This record gives sequence, structure tokens and C-alpha cells, in this order.
Amino acid sequence: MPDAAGYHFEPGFIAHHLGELGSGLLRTLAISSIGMAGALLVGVLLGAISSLRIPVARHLITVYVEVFRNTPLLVQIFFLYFALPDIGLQFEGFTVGWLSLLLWGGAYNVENFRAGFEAVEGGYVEACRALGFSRPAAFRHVTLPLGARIALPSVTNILISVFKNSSFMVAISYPELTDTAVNIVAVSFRVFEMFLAIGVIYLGLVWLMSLGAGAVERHYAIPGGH
Amino acid sequence: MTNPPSVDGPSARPPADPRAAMVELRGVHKSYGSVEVLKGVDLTVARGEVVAVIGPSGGGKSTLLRCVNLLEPVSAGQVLLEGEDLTAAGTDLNTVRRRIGMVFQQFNLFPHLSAVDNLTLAPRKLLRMPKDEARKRALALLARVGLADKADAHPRQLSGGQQQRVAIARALMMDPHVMLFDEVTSALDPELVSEVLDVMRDLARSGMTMLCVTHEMGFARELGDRLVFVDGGVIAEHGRPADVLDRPQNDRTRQFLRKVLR
Ligand SMILES: Nc1ncnc2c1ncn2[C@@H]1O[C@H](COP(=O)(O)OP(=O)(O)OP(=O)(O)O)[C@@H](O)[C@H]1O
Ligand SMILES: [Mg+2]
Repeated sequence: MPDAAGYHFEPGFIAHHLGELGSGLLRTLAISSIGMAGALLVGVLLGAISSLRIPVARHLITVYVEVFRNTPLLVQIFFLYFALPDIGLQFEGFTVGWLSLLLWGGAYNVENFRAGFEAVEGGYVEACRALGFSRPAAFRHVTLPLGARIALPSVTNILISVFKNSSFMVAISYPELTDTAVNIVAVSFRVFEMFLAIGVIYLGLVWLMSLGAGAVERHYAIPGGH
Repeated sequence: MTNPPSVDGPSARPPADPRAAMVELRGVHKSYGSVEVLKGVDLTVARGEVVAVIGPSGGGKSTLLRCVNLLEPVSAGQVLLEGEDLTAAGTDLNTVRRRIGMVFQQFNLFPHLSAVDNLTLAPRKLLRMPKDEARKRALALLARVGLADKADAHPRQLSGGQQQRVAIARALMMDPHVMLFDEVTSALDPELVSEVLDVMRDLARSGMTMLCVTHEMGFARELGDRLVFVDGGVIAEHGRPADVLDRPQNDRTRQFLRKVLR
């Protein structure tokens, strides 16, 4: 099927490489899911410490958040992969993959959760304390569930970005989905087919995640509205 | 301190025991930075007594109430509950607060929990009460405040009056020895005030010790054993509600009552 540029689109070419794309996708899913789970955990824990204004720890967290939000992800990945070996810390591609995503997403989620926790009306915590709950228990039973609900939409956005940003690992030649496609293109020059294929895969998965996020939001919606 | 005879006819309220102080504030001062909000408050609430607290906005009524369960740490003075000095070093306030129920102007029900879960949270987590038992007690209390059918509704699905009745029931779940009420009807539409006052009347008649900040002078007159007028961080006047309301001795009390009883 020649087009204006004389390019022949060959869908069969994609089928031929499904095996390679499949293992690339598995690596994408592996580093993204560790990165997403970690970014969620880091966000909740450090966001809590930050909102509870725990002295020293809170300032260290601010440094972490500022550094990772104000530098490009690509630089962070290079730093972990190429710079750290100079001080004796050598990580393989897989480790840099999930770790860089975790650190990047975590930094944004700390802010998302901190803002969520701080947006919880003081009256709820006060009512909880008046019943006899300690400060940490009141956080656990009131601030956490209410603040996490407030943070949820921005947190799921970041988690989806973590997944999409796994394609940055092409920069360190870690053979996740995008890197796999780039390598196939390098030897076959089937640019259109390959990038169309992985574009569709990314689109489908992000769409699934958005559906999931919507379902979670509906499940935790507060009856009677906000 | 004497307990005045009821002026409202056949109230079933057991007489307050004048010997047993439930709550005692001794020379309580409270400052926020350089602003002194309470300037030496002495107040004794006897077991079973209902004390109404009135006064102009900003006078320190809420602060006084919040010093009783030490939601606000006092700057100076002592707070005693059933003879125990809560301001003494080493007092476990979390345990002490279980004996002091508190109800707020804005209800402050946990919006993510159903009415019954709002009630059972504290007994289950703090007293390790089994789920079934907690639910049974919660349903009984909800029935007592007229909300048996709203057990599984969430706060935002309820009217203000209903929410406030759930909030009172939530506080009662811990079997408090004293209840603090901070303008609990002020945020309600006028037609919803009486349903909350009915619950408080029922509570007062059952012998509960109550300290109520209120703008409802009728309520203060009917159920208050004593009325306390707070202004400028001090108790400017106190006495039997009828005496204070009808024959105020203090100029500031007179001014205040002229405005609110207009
Ligand atoms: N956390 C705080 N920080 C600083 N000032 C405060 C704080 N809480 C209360 N105040 C001040 O203390 C004074 C007394 O406040 P309080 O809330 O006790 O008054 P109130 O008698 O309950 O008034 P209202 O009838 O309006 O509820 C006010 O001037 C208020 O501005
Ligand atoms: Mg007040």
C-alpha cells in the first residue's frame, strides 16, 4: 500500500516482532509497577511526616522534593546510571529503571499527599482527639483517609506519568518497550510500524489505568458529596 | 455552691451532688502568644450539674471549654476532673479525654464513615470493644436520639440537626462522665434547633454533668442549674439562670442581655 512518500506499510512486520515487543513490555511493566508502588508509598509516608511538621525530617524531605521536582528526569537517570559509579555505586539498568521512576514520582506524590493531608479540616482531627485518640491515631483514622481522598486525582496522574516515563530508559539502553522498538527500527528501518505499535500499546495501557483510577475514585467517593 | 430547686415544675432530674466536683478550673490562664484570652478563670461544675455559659463573641467561651479537656494546654492554673489534676506532669490526656464528651458547633462528624461507624470508631479502637457489641450499643444510642433509621447514612446525607444528634451519640458511646457543648445549635436552621435541644434536655434529665456554651437563653433558663457569663476572658457574673437573666448585677451582663434578648 504505497502512500505519498512511497512508504509501504506492512502490518505483518509488527506480528513478526511481537515476541521481542512482549518481553520489552514485560520489562516496562516491571519497572513501572515497582516505581508506581514505591512512589505511592514514599508519597504517603514522607507526605505524612511533612504535614505533621516533624522537625529535621521535614526539612530533609523538602530538599529531596525540591531536587527531584526541579531537575529533568533524564538528568536524574543519567546521574544514577553514569555518575554514581564514580563514587562506587554501580546499579544495573533494571535497578536504575524502577529507582529513578520511584524517586521522581515519589517527589511529586510527597507534595500531593502533604497538600491533601493539610487540606483536611482541623475540626475532624479535633473531634477525634476529643474522643481520646492520640495524635498519630487521629492521623491514621481521620487525616489519612480524608487527605488521601483529596490527593487521589493528582496522585493517579503522577502514577500514570511514572508509567509513561518508563520509556526514558531508552537513554541507558535498558530494553524496555521503547528501547526494544528503537533497536528493531535500527536494523529494519520499519519506523512507522514500530512506533505505531508501541504507541497503541502505551495508549491502551494508559487508558486502562485511567479507567482503574476512575473506579477507585468512585469507590472511595464520600456519600453525599464534598 | 448550692443546687437551686427546679423552677420548671416536674423535672425528673436527680439533684446534683454539691459535694462532688466533676470539673474544677482553678485560676486558669490561657494566652496565644502575647494575647491573653483567659485571665484567671475559677469554675466548679458539680457532678450532675448543668452549667450554661453565655457571653459575647470573642469573650473566651470556646477557649474555656477547650481547656477543660485540654485540647488547648493552659498557660497557668489547674484543671481537675473528678479530683484528678489533669495539668499535673505525666497525665495521660488521651485516656482522660475518654471521660469527657465534646460536641462542636460544626458537628465534625467523620464524613467518610457512616453514622454507626462514627459511633463505633472510638470504642472499637480505644476500648477494643468487639464489633457486634459496638454496633449494638451504637444502634441503641442512635435510637435514643431518634435516628435509628439513619445508622447507615453518611454525615453529608443528613440534615444539620440529624448530624448534631449523631455527634452527641458519638460522644456518649464512650460513657463520658461530663459533656461539653460548644454552641451546638448555632450552625442549625432555626427549625432544626429544637430536635437537638430535645436530646440535650433528655441528657440533662438523665443526670449527665453538662457544660454548655449556648446562645439559647430559653434553654439556659430551663435546664441550667447555673449560668456563667464570660466576657473579656473572665467569669464576669454567675448565678441561678433566672437571677442572672432577669436581674443581672454586672453592667457588661446587662449590655449583653439587652442585645441578645432584644
Ligand atoms: N488559636 C488561636 N490563636 C490565637 N487567638 C485565638 C485562638 N483561638 C482563639 N483566639 C482568640 O481568643 C479569643 C477568644 O476566643 P473564643 O473562641 O474562646 O471566643 P468565644 O467566646 O468562643 O467566641 P464566639 O462566641 O465567637 O465563639 C478571641 O479573641 C480569639 O480571636
Ligand atoms: Mg466560640
